[in-house]
Amino acid sequence: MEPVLRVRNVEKYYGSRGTVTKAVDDVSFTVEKGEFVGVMGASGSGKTTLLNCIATIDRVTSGHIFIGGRDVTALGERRLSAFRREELGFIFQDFNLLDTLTAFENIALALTVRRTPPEEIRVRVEEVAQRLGVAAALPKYPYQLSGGERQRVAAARAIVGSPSLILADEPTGSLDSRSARILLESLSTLNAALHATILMVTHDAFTASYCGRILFIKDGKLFSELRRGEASRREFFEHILEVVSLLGGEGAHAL
Amino acid sequence: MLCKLAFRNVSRSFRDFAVYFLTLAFGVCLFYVFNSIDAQQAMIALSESQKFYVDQMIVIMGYVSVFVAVVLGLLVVYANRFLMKRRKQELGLYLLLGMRRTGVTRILLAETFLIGLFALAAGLTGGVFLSQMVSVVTARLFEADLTSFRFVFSPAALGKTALCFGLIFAVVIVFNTATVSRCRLSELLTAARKNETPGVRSGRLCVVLFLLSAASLATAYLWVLHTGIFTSDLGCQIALGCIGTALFFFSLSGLLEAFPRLFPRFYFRGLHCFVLRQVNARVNTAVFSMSVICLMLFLTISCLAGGMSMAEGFNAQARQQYPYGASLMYTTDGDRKPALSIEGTLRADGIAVDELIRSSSQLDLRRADVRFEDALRFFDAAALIYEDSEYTAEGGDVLARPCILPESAFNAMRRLANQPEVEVGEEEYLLWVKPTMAQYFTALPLSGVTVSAEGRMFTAAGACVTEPFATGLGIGQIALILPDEFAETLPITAQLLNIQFESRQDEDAFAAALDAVYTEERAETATGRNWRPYDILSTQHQMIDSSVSVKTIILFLGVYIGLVFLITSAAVLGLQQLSETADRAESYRLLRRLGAKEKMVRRALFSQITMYVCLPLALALVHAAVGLKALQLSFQGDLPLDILPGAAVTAGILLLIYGGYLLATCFAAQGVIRPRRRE
Repeated sequence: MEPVLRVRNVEKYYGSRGTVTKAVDDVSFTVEKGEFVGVMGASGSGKTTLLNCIATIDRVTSGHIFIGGRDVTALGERRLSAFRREELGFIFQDFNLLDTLTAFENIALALTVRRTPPEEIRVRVEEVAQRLGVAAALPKYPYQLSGGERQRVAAARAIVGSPSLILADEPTGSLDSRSARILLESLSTLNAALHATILMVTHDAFTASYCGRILFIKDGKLFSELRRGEASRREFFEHILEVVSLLGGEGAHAL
Repeated sequence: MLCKLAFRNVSRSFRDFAVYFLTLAFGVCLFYVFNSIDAQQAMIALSESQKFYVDQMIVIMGYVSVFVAVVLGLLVVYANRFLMKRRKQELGLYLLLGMRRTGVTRILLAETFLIGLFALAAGLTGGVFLSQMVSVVTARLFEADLTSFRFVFSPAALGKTALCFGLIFAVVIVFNTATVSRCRLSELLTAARKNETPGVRSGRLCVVLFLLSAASLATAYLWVLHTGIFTSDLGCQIALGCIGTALFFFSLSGLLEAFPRLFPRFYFRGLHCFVLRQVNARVNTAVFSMSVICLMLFLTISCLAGGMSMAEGFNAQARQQYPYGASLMYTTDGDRKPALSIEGTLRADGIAVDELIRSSSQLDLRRADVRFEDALRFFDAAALIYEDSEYTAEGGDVLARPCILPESAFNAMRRLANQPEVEVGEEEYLLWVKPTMAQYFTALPLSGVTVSAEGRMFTAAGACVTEPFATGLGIGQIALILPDEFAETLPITAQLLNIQFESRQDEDAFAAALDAVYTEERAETATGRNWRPYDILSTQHQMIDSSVSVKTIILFLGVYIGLVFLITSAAVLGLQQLSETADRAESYRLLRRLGAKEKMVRRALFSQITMYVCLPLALALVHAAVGLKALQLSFQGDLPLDILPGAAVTAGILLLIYGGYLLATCFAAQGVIRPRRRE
């Protein structure tokens, strides 16, 4: 079966001819359907740039990104917005909920932009909210919600359109540890129960430990890969910490 | 260094400054134009009486300009505050980098100065050219000739404008200095991050308030339509209108809450719910400014349309009302005996009548005991049309003593004014009514209304005659034209001499000659007969000048105040929308990420701005429609007002200025939300 995401030799350069910064340097990997993949790296490692390229918010300098078999680097602006609408769901660090809309409307927005019939919108929004435990928050405005609830509403918005790929950029970045845990458990459930494919960027080992596979990025290059396999989350967490310490310390020489 | 920084700031963020700049330049331009009328009249050939009115107009303009200056001053301070708010972070950065507060103040000072200088230059250039056009318009309104078109520049107006805006800038600088010196650094740096908590109002309360608003507006409307605008109730009516307006905007957001339930199909399609929520949130937090702007727009539309309609009304009235070069009237009350011929007496008293007058005709007004046989039916109909008992009473009084005009002499008058002659049979009469009352009387069924005069019966020969038969003289509301052989036997109550002149010079010379001959000294020495053969003299240009001058003053004032308010409202709304859009730029980025097409996002932005800007306009239009109708009703009977042409021109001006600001705001806002990452 065609993998959900296939990244081939992607490069992203910043700057002019004289001073080139390689933010992403020849990165290739694939994500199969139903995977929960984490991308880890220190600040400035290029992980967010990579995510933005996959999210079609940024253009690659060279290389190809296939999502559901389609090469997004070859799509025009018009096709891209349709593509984002149909295939992608986003969760951001700062929630990015519209504070003038209720939680219900915030979630519904992802459906209204693709002109889903109103009756269907209601059913789907309520179902997703139920699954993420924010059904009670639906009629409320974002400022009436806690940080954790807001992020789960954002997650509901990301998955309500059943995208083939959910992209999360530091989703726990501005949450306290309890809210973060609830959110991550929700994501795991979505991944397990609905076979949602999730690609999550983070620099936090605890957050990453909820993933099934971790890609480590350093200075724009893929540094190593870690699979959870049959290990418990705690054991996986230990493994991740080992790699992280390698990344930051001696690893620089090892490569 | 500071100057360079200031210059770079202004040119970099020109989009932010654009609306500010536009407003300043418009203000300067208007201010110059209306203050240079003084100098502009140099190129118009004005008569003495016209000069008097123009001088009066200049005095009034002077007072109004003070008021306008205050309004513009407040507007500039407001616009400046908006700029300061947008730039707090930048200013904070300067302070963080170790710049002294005095340094930052100096940058702001340099910027204000720079912008002000440019705006002053642009506004004055526009104003100088526009004022040339205003002279042409003035000349046309006064029906005067442009002596010779020359370019007029008014240093006095320039000085006044510079002084006024200098003062405004001084206030702005004081304000900015206070802002910088009072603010804490942390506040400046975090100014951009704001946490808005839109207040949610209870739906039920809003429905009640909305009904209350509708009730108070309806009361105000009906009330003012009943009483007209020239009553002492106007204050209460305005107060009711203001309350209704404020309540309307206050309750509007609550009503929108019900929108998704009522129209789910519309609400949950595309970005509709986003747009509606955004507008709702804006209206919610800006009830006060919305209401003020709505009322200001109402004032604008009323000033523009009302001013123009009234000017047109006076104009139409003037042309109709003064068909003769001059009219002289001599009343023969009590022991005063009628002179045989007024013109003959004038000639005998040494006035060069034959040189000055082209043609003339005399009409003797007579009196008889008149009764309208079917008066009851007649006045029932009149009362129906007037819908006012007051008029019936007055009408009855008027009908009791109409003056009698012999047919042939009346026709001679009509020939003199190039009006078609009328025909009255042996046992017939014609009814003449005052032009302003014509609209009521022409609709009346005259046939069958019999008149008895001195016991003789007459029947109607036809419809009413309404053309005036004198210039600027009040000769009652109605008159009867009767056959000569009967009418000429009746006693004379007044004599009327109408004169046509070859030119305006002759008219003026004639009036001057009368003034010279019939002086007060002569009154003492003259014995044996009345010292002059007329009681009232009224000339065409004397009448037209006064009505034209009143009309011009009204028109200019209406346009002046109207334009200032229009610019103010448009600028405030534009600035609010821009700052709002900038604060919410993130929302539009999110919409793109959710996969909304660029076109969809743009349309959402535009419809949001348009809705917000048009909301107060829509209510203001309703207010203005009622206001203008009330104005028309208030003048009923005295001045036939045709509101439509004035309203059409106003709509054009609105479209141009308001639409211009709306477009500018839309495009500036589009720049604010333009995607940054992608090329």
